[in-house]
Amino acid sequence: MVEQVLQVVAQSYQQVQTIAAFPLLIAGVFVLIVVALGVYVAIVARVRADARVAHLVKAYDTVTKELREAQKIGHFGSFVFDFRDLELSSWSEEMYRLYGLMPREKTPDIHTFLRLAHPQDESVVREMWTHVCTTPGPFAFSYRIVLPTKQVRYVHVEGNTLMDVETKQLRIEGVVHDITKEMEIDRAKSEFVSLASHQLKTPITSIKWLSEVLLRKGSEPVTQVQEKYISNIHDSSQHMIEMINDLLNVSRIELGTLSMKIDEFDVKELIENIREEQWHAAEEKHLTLNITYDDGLPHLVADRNLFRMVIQNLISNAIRYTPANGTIECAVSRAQTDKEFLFVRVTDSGIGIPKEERKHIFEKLYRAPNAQTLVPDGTGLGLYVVKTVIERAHGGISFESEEGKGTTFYVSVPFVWHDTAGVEKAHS
Amino acid sequence: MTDTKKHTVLVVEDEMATALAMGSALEQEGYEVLRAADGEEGLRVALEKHPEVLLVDLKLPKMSGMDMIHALREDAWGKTARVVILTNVSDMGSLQAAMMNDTFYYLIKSDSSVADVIRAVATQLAPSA
Repeated sequence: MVEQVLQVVAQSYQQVQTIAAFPLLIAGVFVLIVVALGVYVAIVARVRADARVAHLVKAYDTVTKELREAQKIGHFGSFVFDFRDLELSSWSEEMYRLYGLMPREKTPDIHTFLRLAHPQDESVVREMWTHVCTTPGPFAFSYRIVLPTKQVRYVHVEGNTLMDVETKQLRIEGVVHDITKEMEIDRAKSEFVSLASHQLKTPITSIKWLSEVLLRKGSEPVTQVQEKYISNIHDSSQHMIEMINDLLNVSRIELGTLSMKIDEFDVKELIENIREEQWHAAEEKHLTLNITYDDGLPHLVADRNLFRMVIQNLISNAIRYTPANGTIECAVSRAQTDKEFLFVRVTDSGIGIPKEERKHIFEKLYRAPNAQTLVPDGTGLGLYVVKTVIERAHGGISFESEEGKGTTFYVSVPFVWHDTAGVEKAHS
Repeated sequence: MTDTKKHTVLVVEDEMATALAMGSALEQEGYEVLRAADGEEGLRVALEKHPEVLLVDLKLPKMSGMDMIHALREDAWGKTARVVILTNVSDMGSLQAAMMNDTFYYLIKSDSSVADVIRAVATQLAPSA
């Protein structure tokens, strides 16, 4: 009996065991499946991540290669100078090629730009880099470098200076463009302009002189209409000579051959000469042209032709942009503030310079819309040349203007000029 | 200008229209005008006629204006002849070379008028010149 009971218990226990083991088995299988799935997912994720990394590396390599190729084709290199972490400073491969240097592990320091500068450009480059290293914001300048092979190359540097607000440390990033070819083309163009202008001058001068002879007292009398026509021929040829002179001076500035011939001369005599040349154009428009001089003005020791060109430009502009019956005043005096300077003021009652155009008027080829409307055939070169010459003479030029009322130009130049032609401003 | 009537001016200029303009204006002022169209002819006429003032263009055929002045300065009379250079060549080299040859007066043609040329001649003839 007992045995039977025990057997039943054992059987029941076995049944219970069997019943209890099943969920465990299910759970175990489930865990196994989950683990297997997890491993699978992890492996897939890893494989995918590896593929992604490989793809990114490939893409990075492609971009780097393309950038390198683009820099090579476009003749420009890129650079970064990071003063917070020098490790982040870098030069692209093309930068080394541009500067004729072998690529090296340690990025060349900022002084390399200066060390390789052409001796004539060194001071300008030093000035520019000092500015770049102290002033956050965009920058651009051009200069010549001398490669270790002695080859001279023109480069244009353009970039941006960033400043960390907290540490005040800088990061300078930018590109350097090889502009040697462009400069050569520009030079050839300037040489052509110079040559063509010289050739044009001779026949135009003949036309001007012959018309002047016809208008002189003592020549055979001409009718009133003929006289008017001859006067027009004279004024037009004079205008053309001024335009040719502007072109020639621009080409000289750009070729770096605008040199000075310093002579001593009487300012009054020179300005009277300009008056004589311009009186007819002024009279034609019934303009009053008043010129006053301080007593006892010392002679100028300057480049006569360049000074003449400055005053001639200002007076002929005043005549051109002043409507009929207007007034033009030119006052020549010794500067009040600095007795070493000659001061010339040219005031007109002309069309004036619109406010929004004022910052552009000394730019090459720029002409204000109201000036273009009144005189369509101007070159936009005159004031650019005037400013360049005055700056070369270490003088200054400024103006005041009111649209529809007139303009006053103020020019000051030293009584004694020195030709300190160094690096052309055109490079910067 | 009655006292200038006897004064002789030699214009050495190859550009016909320019020579015509200068010559006519000077004649109107009462000068006797001699003309030459190249450097060789200019030198020959100068040495033969001894004009009181020479107006010499720098860019001339056969012999340049500068070479003509050089040759002129070799001559006993030509050494002190009054020369005014007329040119459109405003390069410093040519003008400095002119200074070396004692020619102190020059006019850039396109920047000058016929009146300037006449004034330059009169200045050369003034007693202090």
